[in-house]
Amino acid sequence: MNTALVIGASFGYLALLFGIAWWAEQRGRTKRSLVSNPWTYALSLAVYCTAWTYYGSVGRASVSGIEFAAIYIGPSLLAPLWYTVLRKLIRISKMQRISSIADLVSARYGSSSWLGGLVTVFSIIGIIPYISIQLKAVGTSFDLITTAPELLRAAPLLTDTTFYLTLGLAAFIILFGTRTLDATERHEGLVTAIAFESVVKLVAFLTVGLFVTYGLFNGFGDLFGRATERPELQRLFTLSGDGGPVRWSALILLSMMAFLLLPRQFQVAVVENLNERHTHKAMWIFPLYLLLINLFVLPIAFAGRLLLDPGVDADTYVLSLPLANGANGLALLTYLGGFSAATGMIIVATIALSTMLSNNLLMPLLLSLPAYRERGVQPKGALLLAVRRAGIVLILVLAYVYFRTVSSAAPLVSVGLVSFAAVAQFAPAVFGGIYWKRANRHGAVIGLVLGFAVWAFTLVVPGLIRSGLISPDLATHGLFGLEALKPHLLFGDLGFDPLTHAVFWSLLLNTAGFVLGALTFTQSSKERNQAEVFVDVFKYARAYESSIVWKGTAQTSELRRLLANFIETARAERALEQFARRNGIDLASDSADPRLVTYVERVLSGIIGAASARIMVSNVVKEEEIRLEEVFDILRGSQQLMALNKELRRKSEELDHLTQELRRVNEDLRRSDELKDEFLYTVTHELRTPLTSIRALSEILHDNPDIDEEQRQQFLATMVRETERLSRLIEQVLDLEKLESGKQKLNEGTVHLPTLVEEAVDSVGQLLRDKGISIQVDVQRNMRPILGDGDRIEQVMINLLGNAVKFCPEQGGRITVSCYYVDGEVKVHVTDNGPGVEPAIRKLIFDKFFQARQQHQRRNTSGSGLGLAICRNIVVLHGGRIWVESNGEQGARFSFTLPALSPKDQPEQA
Amino acid sequence: MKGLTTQRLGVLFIAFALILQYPLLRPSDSTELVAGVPRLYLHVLLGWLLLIGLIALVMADKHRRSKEQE
Repeated sequence: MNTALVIGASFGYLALLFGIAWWAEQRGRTKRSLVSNPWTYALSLAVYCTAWTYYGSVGRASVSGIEFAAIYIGPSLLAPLWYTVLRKLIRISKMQRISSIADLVSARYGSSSWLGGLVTVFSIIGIIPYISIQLKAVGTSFDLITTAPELLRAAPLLTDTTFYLTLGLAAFIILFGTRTLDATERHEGLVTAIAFESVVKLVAFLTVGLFVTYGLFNGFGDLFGRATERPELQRLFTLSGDGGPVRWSALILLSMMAFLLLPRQFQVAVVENLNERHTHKAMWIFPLYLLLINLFVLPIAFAGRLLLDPGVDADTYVLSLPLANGANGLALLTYLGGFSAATGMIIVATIALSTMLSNNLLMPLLLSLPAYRERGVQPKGALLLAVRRAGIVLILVLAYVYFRTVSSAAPLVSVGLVSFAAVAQFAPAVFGGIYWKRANRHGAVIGLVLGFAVWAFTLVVPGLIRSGLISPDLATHGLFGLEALKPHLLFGDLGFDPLTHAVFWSLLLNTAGFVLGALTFTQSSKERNQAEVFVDVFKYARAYESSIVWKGTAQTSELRRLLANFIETARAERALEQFARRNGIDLASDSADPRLVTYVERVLSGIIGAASARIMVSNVVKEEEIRLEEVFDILRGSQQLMALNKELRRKSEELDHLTQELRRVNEDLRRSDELKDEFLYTVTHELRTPLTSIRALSEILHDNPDIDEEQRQQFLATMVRETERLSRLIEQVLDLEKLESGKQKLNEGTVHLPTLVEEAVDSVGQLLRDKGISIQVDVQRNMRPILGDGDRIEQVMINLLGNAVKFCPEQGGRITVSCYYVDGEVKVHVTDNGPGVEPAIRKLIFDKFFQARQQHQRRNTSGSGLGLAICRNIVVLHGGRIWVESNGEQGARFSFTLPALSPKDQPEQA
Repeated sequence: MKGLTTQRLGVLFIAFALILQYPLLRPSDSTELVAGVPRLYLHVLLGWLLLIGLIALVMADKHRRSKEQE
């Protein structure tokens, strides 16, 4: 393919990355951030998939089958544990403003500059070859696609495309990776670019996969079917390659650790994390991404073995297959996919390493120079930026030089795995540090040094022997001529493959050193603080800021000056004021509050790393040793304060609740008072009507002695009627009052309801005949009696019958009375064919004076409006219910029930 | 409630650490093809998919429960 086209595409793609990063940063300032969602977070985690995944997996799969997948199964398997482990790492890092894995280790073990430096050096040694294989992959794929065989590696520097690519990446990283001094600040543009790269490599790989599986073969069945015909390929269907099941498990374990401990993974997963909740969704999105990008690895590997010349490097199958089949467009896409996989890794790894290099190695070294230590000179922010940028260039140069010189013929996967094994050495120090309070600095140093020594001896030395740099005598006779110290067979043959062998011994000795060190030596006070805060981070997260875990004397002005070196004065002042306000600290006093000192140290940590911040702060303050008991007291005190606060809040909520309850009761009282007033008003009104008419009539009679006899008789009759009405009303009011207040006791006895009903009907018989109303009585004869007051129940019956009569039409009135036993109670219905009761008032008519209040709507005004209220009271006193049903114009049916006596209560009655 | 999610995820980790490694991989470790695909590959692929699905379920449930609590 045209070289210019490929070069154009490569740098065009790089320019696109610049554009995306720039756009994302611009957007982040104005609109909602692109980075603040779980999808971008998950995609940025996919920086885990490098050129190793993209090209190397196929190469590995073509010789050992599914084994390559263990590297992706490991992180997927680990995903459920993010909920505990990753969240804890994120929480700790945010609280302590930790910017890298070296910073984490250093901060945990008392801001030890020793440990931070050690982790930094080991990371750089471990990762540089890993970065260089990315460059190699880009170089090889470039050679392949431009069909310039072996041109690249022999080319002089200035005609080497990889060199310019390295320069371009350096510019990108410096531009978007060192925007601010604060290493814990998020790089939005960068993360967006990385997420974009993850999409590109996935799409490209899936496209090649589909092309190979369905374009070159007829699907999976066809492809695997043809592989079955070749025994050397069929062998790859099983795990029986070198190492087999043990290696499979070792790789899973190794990749689990690498996923969290690789500097670039720590960068995207922890430092760049915006919100802990993003991990919740990413917990399945990320494994799904891994599964998808690996879906076609085996088909492509088998296709390569089946279709391509055996001389073709298996690491290039992904690109060679489209090229060999003349699919040039696809080949270019594939090339760009691999390009994105490689550049993504280089970018993030370089940033992570350069932060480590500047904050945990160069700055502490610089600060220990006499100029800074003794003469009180303080380095400025600009210097730090320069150091960090120089670090970026240095790392890229080292990787490039490694690629040009060593650039081993070893396949991508092997080099990558050596790096994995290197970072796995951080596992005891990191995980031990966040879960075990006793873990200390001495143990961590011993473990790390032992682990790395074994790692170098078992994984690096054999490579050097192969390349002739070390005499092969070492391999045959062992170190110092000791049989037990052979690089590939340390302490005898355990039957492991070389990688498993190295991982096993390095991690075993590392952990042993770490544990024994922790159990032998004691912690410093600062270490104890940190141990407490790291292990119980979820407990102390909130108490932390306001806790004094420091003792000594310091001057506020000195702290101000210290901060101003790295942050603009205005911003530093603002930060200090905010902190002071939050915690009620007086900034004006010159002797600084101890909390202020810890705060300043933490802010500085985010910028120059824990170890450097420790050195700088301790230069300007006079510290005293703080005892462990004091630390615990302080932390516990803050805890208790928080608990008290919580208790107070709970109490106040309770009070709120009670107040509301009181208000409700008060409202009820007010309502019943209103009801009473209303009742009084209605009663007096009802009394006044007949009184008025009696008084008017008697005045007429009094003033007109000559009134004729007929008229006088008529007046007197009215007066008698009104008086009767008056006394009836008063009786009813008294009756109701007695019933409602509970003063009225029921005169209880066994009552046979059918008899009572018939008696009641008889007593209104005359009235019925007068009005020409027909009545039908339907009672069940043999039923159980009830326990109750017969007179009262008869009162209810008569009242209901009276009402029925009142509402029956003038002509053709009809009343039905029924009484029967059902389900333990006796039911009585009184039905009329009057105008019925509207649904809205069916409940209200049992209220006192309801009729009175409805007078203007009712044609019939006789009656006090207390009858039904009295009925309800009587029925309820007997433990029954009363209600009315009405079917429009079909009349009304009043019913009530009374509980029947059970058979055993009335044996003598039966 | 937080404890429940942690426990569920812990169980997932243990279960799939077993499902995706020897000795439980052993019965599938043969050259036999199932539905045109080597049995071992299918075992690993389906196990992997199931793991992802179950994580998504657990987290969706956690999300639902924490919504309800609000």
